[in-house]
Amino acid sequence: MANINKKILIVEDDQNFLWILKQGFVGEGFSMFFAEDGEQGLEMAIKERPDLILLDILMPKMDGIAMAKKLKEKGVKSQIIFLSNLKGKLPVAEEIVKESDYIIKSDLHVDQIIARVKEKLGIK
Amino acid sequence: MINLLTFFIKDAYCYTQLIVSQVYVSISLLMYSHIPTAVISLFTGSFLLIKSRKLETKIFFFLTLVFFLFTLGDLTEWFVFLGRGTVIFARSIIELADPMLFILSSYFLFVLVKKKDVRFIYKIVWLLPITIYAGILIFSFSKNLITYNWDICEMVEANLVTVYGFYMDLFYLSSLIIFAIWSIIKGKGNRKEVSIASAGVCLFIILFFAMEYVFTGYIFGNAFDYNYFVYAFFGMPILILFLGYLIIKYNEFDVKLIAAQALVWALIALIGAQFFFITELVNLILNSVTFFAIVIFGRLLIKSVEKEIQQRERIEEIEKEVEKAYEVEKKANEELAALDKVKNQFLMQTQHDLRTPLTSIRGYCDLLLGGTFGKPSKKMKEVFERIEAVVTGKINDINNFLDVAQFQLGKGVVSLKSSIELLPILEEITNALAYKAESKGIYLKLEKPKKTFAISADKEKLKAAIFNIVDNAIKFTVKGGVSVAITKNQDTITQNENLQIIVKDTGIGIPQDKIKSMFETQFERTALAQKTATGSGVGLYLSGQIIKLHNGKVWAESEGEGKGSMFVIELPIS
Repeated sequence: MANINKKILIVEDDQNFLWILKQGFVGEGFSMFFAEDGEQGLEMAIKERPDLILLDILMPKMDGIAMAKKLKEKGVKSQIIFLSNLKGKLPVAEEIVKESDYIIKSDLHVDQIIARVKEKLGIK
Repeated sequence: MINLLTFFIKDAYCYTQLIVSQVYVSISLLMYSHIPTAVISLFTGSFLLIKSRKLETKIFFFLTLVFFLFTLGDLTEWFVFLGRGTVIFARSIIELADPMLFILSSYFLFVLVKKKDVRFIYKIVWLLPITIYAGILIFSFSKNLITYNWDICEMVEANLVTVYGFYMDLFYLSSLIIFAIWSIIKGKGNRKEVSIASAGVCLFIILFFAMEYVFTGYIFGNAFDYNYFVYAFFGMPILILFLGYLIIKYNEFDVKLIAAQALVWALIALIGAQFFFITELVNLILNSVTFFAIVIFGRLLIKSVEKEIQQRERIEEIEKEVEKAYEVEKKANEELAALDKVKNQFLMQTQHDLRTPLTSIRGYCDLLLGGTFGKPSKKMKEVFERIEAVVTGKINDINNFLDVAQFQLGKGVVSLKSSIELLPILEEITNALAYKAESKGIYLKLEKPKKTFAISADKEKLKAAIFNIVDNAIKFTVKGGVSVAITKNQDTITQNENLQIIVKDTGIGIPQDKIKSMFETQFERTALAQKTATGSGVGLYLSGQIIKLHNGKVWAESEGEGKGSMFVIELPIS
């Protein structure tokens, strides 16, 4: 349980995928936080200062890109992995997405996503 | 006619005075300075008024009218034989017309430069001095009398009129010059135009002022010598000359006058004016012949020039139409681009919405297979694997379908730009795919050339095309890796130089019967691809189409299954 110190926030509006990720991360030993839209996610990120945020792009109220920009403004320095099913130029053209990491959900399996998170946090 | 006039003036006592005066004014000079200038001035003013009804033209017409009256008045003053009353009457016209010339000239220049009327309040301030002056002239009292002294053959003004008149003229003159200088300094795009207009008007008024006050000796306290004043009238033709230049060069007053027209009219006026001074019959005949010759040849000249100008105007019109058509096309292109954006957004939303539930289904399978909810039985595991394979296949189908849809909707949108560096494109691709190769445990290397290569390309589309090919190579490689290289190549037949991007892998290879059709047909899958349950074909088909639109070629080489493959993308050097 060496990962207990690491906080991970998942912001995802798709209930199904959120549940899958929740289950996937069980037993990994992280402190997990969840939010279902950008506003909620922003609030939680400011409060909890997570080490890493898995951030969906297309979401109600505030989208992932807007939320990431707000976080940067507020000085929250969590690592971000954008998580979306958007393919094509639009999301990648955003400067903030280029600075962070970007995963297309349908390209990776759940265990691959978890592996990517660990790698990003420097956990073997 | 001239003899008749000379006879009358000679008869008058004052003609002798003309001769004894310090400056000798001949009858010819007297006529020449007054009659042609007055006629030309009024003619020009009326001509412009007919052609254009702008405020500045109206003011100019009024200016020429006043000048005409002034000139006639001044001439009348010389003809003493007309009687004392007439001469004094003429003098009063002159006295009022003189400051009006100053005012109208300033007003004219102001409107010409500013392209708007003077504000009402300034008009009142402007007209105040002349109104007082008119009052002085009308209400006669001992200090403002104008009389004629037969002894010296000159008009005698009371001191008040002269002094007031001088300072009033000085005021109008200096304000005109200040305005002119100010406009020239302030003028930006039309500085040259303003300078010419200012120069013309100022010369006219300065000449007038100088002849009236400086050369007469007035400001030096000397006795008047009005004989110099005959030269003041030549200021008007000078002003007209400047205006003519403005009209021809800058289309001032919106009057279309061509240089040939102006030249012919000027010649006609000059030679016509000669008639006033011809005394001999031979000269009269000669002048008449010249006059009519100029009228006839001038007409011909104007006609031919007009024709040329009409042609030029027609060309300009066509140019405008072409420009308009270009604007319409530009707008249509902009609309197309906007439509393209909407289409892209729609496709993106669609692929997102279609993929989302499939991703979740696969996620559930992942959890079940991963043992999150207890280890599944062998049979259950097989079922979950089958579900996952089907879903993954569907996800790929959606990706492929949308890629093709996107490409086909955007057909012909490949817009080539010259001097696109090739190396950065390849670097972006290998960087983007590095993670994928690494996670498969294979290498992906870019052999950087020493030289840089530039081509004509649609950067984003070409990148996508090459990306597909490299991605495809990684997909079918399990051991070893993929290398990307650029070489320069000369076509053996056409001798044209071109670039080859070579993507080499150590993968499963391609069966010989599939090599030729790989970039040609849509939705075709190799047996091997079907085995691994990941689609191919569509991506390569698109790559082929894009490279074709770059005037390039793409083909695959392989020594057979299991022996790796090589993809060659050939692009012409720009």
